[in-house]
Amino acid sequence: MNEVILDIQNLETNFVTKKGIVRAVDGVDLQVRRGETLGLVGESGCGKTVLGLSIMGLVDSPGRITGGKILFKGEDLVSKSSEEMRQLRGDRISMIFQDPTVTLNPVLRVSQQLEEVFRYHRGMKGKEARQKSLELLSLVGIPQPEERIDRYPFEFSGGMQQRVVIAIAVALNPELLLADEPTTALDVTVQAQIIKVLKDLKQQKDSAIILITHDMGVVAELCETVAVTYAGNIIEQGDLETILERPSHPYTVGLIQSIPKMEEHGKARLTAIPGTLADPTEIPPGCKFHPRCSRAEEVCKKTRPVLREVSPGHKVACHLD
Amino acid sequence: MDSLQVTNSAGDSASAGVARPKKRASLSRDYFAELRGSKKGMTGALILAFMVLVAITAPVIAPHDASSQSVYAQYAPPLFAGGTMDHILGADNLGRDILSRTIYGTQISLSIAFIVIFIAVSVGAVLGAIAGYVGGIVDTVIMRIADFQLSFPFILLALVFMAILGPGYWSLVIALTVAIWANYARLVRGEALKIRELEFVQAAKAIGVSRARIIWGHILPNALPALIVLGTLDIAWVIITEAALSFLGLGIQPPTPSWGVMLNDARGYLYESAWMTIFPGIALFMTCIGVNLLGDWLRDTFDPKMAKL
Repeated sequence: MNEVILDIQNLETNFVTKKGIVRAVDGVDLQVRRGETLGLVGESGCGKTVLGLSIMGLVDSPGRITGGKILFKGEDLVSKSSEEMRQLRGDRISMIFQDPTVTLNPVLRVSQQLEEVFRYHRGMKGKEARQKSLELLSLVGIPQPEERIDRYPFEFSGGMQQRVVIAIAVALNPELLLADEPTTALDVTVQAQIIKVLKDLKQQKDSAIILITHDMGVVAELCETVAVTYAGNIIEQGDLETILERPSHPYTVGLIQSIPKMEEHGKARLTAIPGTLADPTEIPPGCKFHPRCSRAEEVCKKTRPVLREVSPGHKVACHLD
Repeated sequence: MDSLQVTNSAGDSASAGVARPKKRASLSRDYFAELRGSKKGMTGALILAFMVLVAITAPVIAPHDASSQSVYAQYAPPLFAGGTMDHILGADNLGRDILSRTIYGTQISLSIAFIVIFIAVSVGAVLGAIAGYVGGIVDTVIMRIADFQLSFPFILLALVFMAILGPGYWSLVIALTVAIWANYARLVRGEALKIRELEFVQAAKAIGVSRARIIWGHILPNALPALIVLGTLDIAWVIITEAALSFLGLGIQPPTPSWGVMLNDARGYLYESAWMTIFPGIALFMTCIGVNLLGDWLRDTFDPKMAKL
């Protein structure tokens, strides 16, 4: 097993709103090892992105990290100054965003945006930065990079833009790469290409990747381990096979049943998880999932379950077995 | 050869765009082509280009020295009203050549306008971007200064500067700059508030770009179209205001041939020697029309949403 490079301990990120305090990340524990690709899955609004931004140190007011630790190779990111975090971002930790059409600055040439990374972190100039940028574009599969590098983002297709975004993110071989729904905004064929790019990158570099997504298909393609989030908590974690084949938390079970399956076309109706995600300002007592859980018992309404190891490497936060 | 496959599949979708073998046309060239297609924009641009050319070549094309007087030429009428070739547009009460003075007046008007707009846009844009992006107390301080500035009557402000610095070219530049920088600060602050919420700013932060670099490299370039439009339209305001202040004796001082000074000189001779008023007036009018036409076109081109306003 590789060393643990990211160790999140009891992390809490709150947003103060008029309706009350939103606990977007509510005591998350998570470990990522070098070279590992972890899928962070859950439905919209369950705190996946905020967790990502917390690691990056990019939670904006009114949000704030109110507790816990983010140990990156032993250093606590929460206690770092904003200047120290700035130097870390893009260099040792990087992030890919959801919609490439808005992630690139529309008025700057692609070359300027690529070279930015080398300039700010490595002090490279002119030709050197340009050479590196060209290499990057080839790496992410953009043909004829010399032709394209001086264009504006709007002259690229969505898939090409996402390749550029990925190129920028991996430019300096970050030890940790966060990908926040990198394929959601793209159409299916382009999704497959982008997944391919990420897969190739995984083989060439040994960055740890946290893939934030709600698409189980993408997770199955790319990840070795999976963490399932619900309302700001991690409720189940384990390796890919365990989570897909033998999920034990009722929410994970529901999540996997709600994926359409080819072999049952037309015969079986999709199973949806009843209800919606709890109002983040009115989190139910006990297990946060119990109002939607078909197997909820008396204990679920009173005590909040903690993440415990049920078999080696497989952790579940549920009172039931 | 996995990466090769990726390359091919991606190449199909975009290969149509790479057909042009040469270096692609720059954006500025695209805009120039569009300018040529617009009567309004082209007229404005031609007038302004003509004025700039006149200003630059003034010493060459002006037939006389701007302030050389001649007793013989006093009140000489222009060529079409029975004058001579020596003073094509006539001469004023001191026998100074109107054409030459109008030509040299172009230098004063345009140079003041460009200097004022350049300084005001630079200062206003940077302060506005800082206010909008940084926010908090910085925003409050900068914008309250701007509000104070905008609520202060302009003529009074000009008087104060003239009283302190003495009337003249540079005092006029300072007074006009102080009068309009706040417009740009407000404009860019609004843009910065909008732009800083966009994803690409977050993405720039995510690769460790510093605050100063984000303001300079990401916020300001995106605010540029709005700035260019407002800045161009304000050139006309600066030219008119410079003439007005000079007319009132608060700006350029005689005998320097500012259009405002010429109009003031002509005040007492409106009935007898109308040409003293007409020609600097036409020059002033044409320049402002040219600038406004160009500014209108820029607004239509850069921001179609604003066109209907």
